[in-house]
Amino acid sequence: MTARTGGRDDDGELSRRQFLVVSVASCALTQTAAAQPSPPPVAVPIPRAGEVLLRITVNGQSQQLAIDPRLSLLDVLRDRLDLTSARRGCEDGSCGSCTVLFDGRRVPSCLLAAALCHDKTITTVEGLSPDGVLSPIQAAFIRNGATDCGFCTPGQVVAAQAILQEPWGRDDEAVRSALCGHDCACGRLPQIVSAIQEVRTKRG
Amino acid sequence: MEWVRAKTIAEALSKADANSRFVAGGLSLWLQLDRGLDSPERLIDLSALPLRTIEGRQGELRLGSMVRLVELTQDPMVQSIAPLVRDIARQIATPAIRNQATVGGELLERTRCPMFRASSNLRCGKRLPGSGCAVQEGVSYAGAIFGTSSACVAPSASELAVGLSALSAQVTLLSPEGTGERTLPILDLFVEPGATPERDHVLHPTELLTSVTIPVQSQRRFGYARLAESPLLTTASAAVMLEQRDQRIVEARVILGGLSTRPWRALASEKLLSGHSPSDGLFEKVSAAALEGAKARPDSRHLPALAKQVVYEALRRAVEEHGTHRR
Repeated sequence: MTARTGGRDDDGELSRRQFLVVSVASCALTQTAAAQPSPPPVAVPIPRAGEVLLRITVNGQSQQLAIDPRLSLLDVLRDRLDLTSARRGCEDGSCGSCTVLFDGRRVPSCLLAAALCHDKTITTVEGLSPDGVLSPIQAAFIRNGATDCGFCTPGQVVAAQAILQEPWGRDDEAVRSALCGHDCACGRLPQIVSAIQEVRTKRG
Repeated sequence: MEWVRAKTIAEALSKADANSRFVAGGLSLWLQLDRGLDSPERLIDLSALPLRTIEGRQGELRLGSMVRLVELTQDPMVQSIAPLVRDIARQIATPAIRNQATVGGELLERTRCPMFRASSNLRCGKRLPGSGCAVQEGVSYAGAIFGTSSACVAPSASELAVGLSALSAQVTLLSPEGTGERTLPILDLFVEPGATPERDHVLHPTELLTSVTIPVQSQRRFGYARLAESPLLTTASAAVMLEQRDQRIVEARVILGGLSTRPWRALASEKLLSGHSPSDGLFEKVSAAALEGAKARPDSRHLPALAKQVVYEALRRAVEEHGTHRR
């Protein structure tokens, strides 16, 4: 039904370590680019029959697109806005690799109808460090070795950022409950919990 | 396909017809469109409508249908008036889904039977009316053991409905055709598949579920237990209500979920509870009686034992934890 560019991400020629740095720090690059003088404003796209206008702010940048209402937010982020940090995993809402912030709340972007995001704010991992400096949770992920193959990492980092604001208990068990719906096939859950707890402890 | 951003309830209703669908949290919609389970001509976006309030008034708690599940887990009024709803909501799906999923959307969520969800051509009467049921033709899947028919064994998906049935909640449905509003006990909202498995409930395509009303029942105790294969897949669940006077149970509700085609009232269990004092022995008998009418197939022969277990556990929690079980 909808054209898709590929399935899962392919990290090509990069070594694992290079890939980790890129996947955790990619925000630094995109945000530096975003800080340059913005191009002249683009005309508002006119939706054709069967399309709907979608006006969203993604990582601080306002975007206007005409979309098929059948698209998911993940389709729009990956295929239309070229933001490939959110991953296409289970497409069932149970793996967490597509997690983004929707008006500050974490949601599975693979399930969410994109047209519902009109006039809303979306943040992906690329948007977590607007000044080109890793956010505390990103730095904690690296320090704690909370990432291995990197596939789930962008979703885990976004979820971790949300968990910092959510009312969960103080102990590790509460953080594990908060991470329900986030799979890490490499088994880095303990390190992810440590990274989140490290930032929470520092914040007191 | 047309997308309508309704600004008022009246506008949403005026755009509704047999080929339109209301969009609440918009989470299962995409899946249904992508897998070709549904192909409406118009989608009516409800997100701007004033259906997002939780109100306590005159002996009842009213939940707007667009209230998000996460709000049920955090709202102090839900916690004090209907702690059972909070306990169930915090076990539904995942935290990220609960941030977006709504009360109305969860209640009307369609089955998780893989024959229905699969993009394959396995026969499913819910997906393609009259096409049969691959599960009963030999594809290995447990399915439901209560309320099944030769056309369908798909278990119902809503867990809120299980708890709200024990709470004797009512749903309010708004219709555009001049008939106005109707209110139904939540148990009357859902239908068994019978010969028309494509129907899950009695809602007309143009009717909008606007709210759920829960009566305040401070004298009653409630308990809920759930066995789940994954956060998204309930294997068996049970919600119970016990009302006692002088130690004896004068009224009871026992509702099963996960292994029935709709929230399933275990009448035999309710009858056994009535007039007796709670005890382990009684609860053993009551949970065994919950299996009355169960139709297990070879793939679901493990389910009766699990049904018995969740009923027993829900009863135990209602009594021992005073209806507000902590984790």
